[in-house]
Amino acid sequence: MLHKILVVDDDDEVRKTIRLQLNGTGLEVVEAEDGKKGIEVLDAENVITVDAILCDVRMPNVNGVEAVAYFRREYPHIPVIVLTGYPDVKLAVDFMKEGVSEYLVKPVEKEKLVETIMKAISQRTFVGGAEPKM
Amino acid sequence: MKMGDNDAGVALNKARGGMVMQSKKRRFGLSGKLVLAILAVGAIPLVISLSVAYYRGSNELQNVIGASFQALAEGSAAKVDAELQRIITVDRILAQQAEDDPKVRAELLGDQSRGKNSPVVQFDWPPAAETEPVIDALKASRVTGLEGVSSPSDESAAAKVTGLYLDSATQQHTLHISTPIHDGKGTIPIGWLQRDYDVKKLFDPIIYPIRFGGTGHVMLINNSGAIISCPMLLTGSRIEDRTLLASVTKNRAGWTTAENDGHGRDVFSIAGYAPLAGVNALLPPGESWHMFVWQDSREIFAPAKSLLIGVLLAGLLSLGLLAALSYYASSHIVKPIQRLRREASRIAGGDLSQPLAIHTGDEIEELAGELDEMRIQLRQHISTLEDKVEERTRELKENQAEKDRVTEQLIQAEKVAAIGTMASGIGHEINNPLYVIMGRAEAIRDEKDVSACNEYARDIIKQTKHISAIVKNLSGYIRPASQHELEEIDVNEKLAEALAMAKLSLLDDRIDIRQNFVPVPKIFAKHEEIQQVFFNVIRNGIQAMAGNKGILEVTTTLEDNQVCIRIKDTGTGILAEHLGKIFDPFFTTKGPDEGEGLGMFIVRKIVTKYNGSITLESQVDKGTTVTIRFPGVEPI
Repeated sequence: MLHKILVVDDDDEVRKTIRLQLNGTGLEVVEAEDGKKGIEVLDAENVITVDAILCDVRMPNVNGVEAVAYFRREYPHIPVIVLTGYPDVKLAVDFMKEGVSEYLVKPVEKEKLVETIMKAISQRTFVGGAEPKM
Repeated sequence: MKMGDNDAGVALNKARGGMVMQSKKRRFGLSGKLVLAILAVGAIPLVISLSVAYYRGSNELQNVIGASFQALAEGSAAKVDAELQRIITVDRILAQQAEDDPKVRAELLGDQSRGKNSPVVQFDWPPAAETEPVIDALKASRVTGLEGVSSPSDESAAAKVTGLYLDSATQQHTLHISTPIHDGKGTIPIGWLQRDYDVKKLFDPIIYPIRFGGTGHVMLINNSGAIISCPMLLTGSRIEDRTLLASVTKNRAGWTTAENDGHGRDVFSIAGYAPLAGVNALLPPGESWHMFVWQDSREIFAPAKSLLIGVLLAGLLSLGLLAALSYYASSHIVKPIQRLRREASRIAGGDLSQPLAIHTGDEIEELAGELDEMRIQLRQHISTLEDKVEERTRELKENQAEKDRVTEQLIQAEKVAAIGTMASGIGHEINNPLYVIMGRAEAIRDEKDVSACNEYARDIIKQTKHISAIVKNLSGYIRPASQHELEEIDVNEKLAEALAMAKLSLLDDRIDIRQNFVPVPKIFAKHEEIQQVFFNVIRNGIQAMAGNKGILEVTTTLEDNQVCIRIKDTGTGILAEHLGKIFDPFFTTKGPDEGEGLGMFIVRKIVTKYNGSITLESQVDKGTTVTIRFPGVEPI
């Protein structure tokens, strides 16, 4: 089963690394280079339907904190995984309170990443929203 | 005695100043008071006794003068009496000769018929040739009948003196003496031998030579005040002062004082007087003659005056002697006291080393002993105090060292805390390339294509270098401060590093960081401390703009030879009531995880440590500008 993953990260090298890690795992990557772009992708009238969001924290324009808050508010059925370089407990706790599925600190191994994404997708909740379109 | 000898000295000098003030208030010294007291005690009896002596002396003098005047008056009266007796005796002899003279008898007895009513029998007798030449004063001598006696008071009297009368023809005062001529052996007078004497010629030779001093003389007066003989006043003139006259014409000898000298002057005088007892018996009733001794009062009282001067001189001399003696005595008493005072001053001045050496064997020595006891106790107290001060100083030094150490630790701790707050930023900076490296390594592991592997490997190398650069940049921040020595620091370089560090904590690019650097002199400091100052101020600026767009502008300039750093943000600003507390330790408006409130406290500590200054300007919702100035090492 093919899942679409929205990767929001400003670092080209990081996005490339994610692509490499998810290559051949059945997880298709949709890229956005900052929070603002990520929000635009989702808001574009479901042109693209994603099964999970992989979001960085430090980004220009709209940063990860704001972007995740938006995703959780507007698309609560889509699991969000924070993938960041900040080994910051406070930040992690704040994100968990927002309802993110996981707070991953880079560097993260390929297997760990994939497992985390798959787990998040399988455990996604439907909070007052419509059934996801399959 | 290392303790503030100077301080103690100053304090004691102040105390001495107080003493000086007191001594200025003193009007009389102890010595002066003693002299005054002794003079008072000595002078009052002296003056009293001298006054009494003068009073008694002048009284004695009066008595002596009065007594001598009286004696002189008596002596003179006796002489006049004697002269009169002589004349009366001569007259008596002549009267006897007349009795024996038949011619005289015939004249007196021959013509009985004339009786009492017959014309006066009168003829000169003895004849002028027989007149006794020795009696120069004799003016006339004649025999008269019984009727010829002008004022026979007692017919049985031996002789009669008729008193003083003025001979209008010769303008001479005349004394008339009548001596009875008896018949034979009988006692019945048959006539009178009448003789007139010139008073002046008779008495002046007796009265005039009796002179003493310059003005002293005797005078013969009668009880009506008429002058009979006086070397100074005319015979026949009068003493007008009735009081004086009454007091000197008593029927006994004596002396008196009067307010009139009898010679026309109203001055105090002493007069001696004596009645002429022999003469007065022959005088008609109601008349008496008196001897009166007079001297000019100025002359009389000259001895009294000299006595007074003598007494005054003696008094002054005694007073002078008394003053000198009392001064000598008081200085004997006062000198040890003055020494005691000097010794006390010495002690007050802080010299406690020498014992008080005053050996007078009296209360002053006891007092000195007490004072010395106080000196010893004071020295002990001061020594204890000095020990305490030394101990306290040592404690303070230790405390200061402890404080310095704590401050140093605080600076270091704050730095570590600052690093903590940006640890995630650093982590982000390193973890991103690490993640890329991991991803490439995994790809190499799974990749069969060698050229792809090579590309991944190049990526790994690139990312590794990136990490290395980051670590190198950060390493300066985590070394302990004490390992660094003072060095010349490029402020611009440190600001750039601090900005780079601060950027790490930014989650996005909303804050526009601007650098306006000009070349400025280096400053002399520990570089990590300067870094800490810059990082703290910049981080505060960034935090003031958190979540919003803003500008952080860092400027360096050279102003008044000082390196001037301005860090300006467009953040929320500082409330007026918080401005004064910004540099207080543990003052913060941030959340519990954003800092301990030590940042600006440490900043100011470091800035002032390097003789710098820091000022704040802030407007709420407009932003804050922090200006830091350091003295530059050298001009560019």
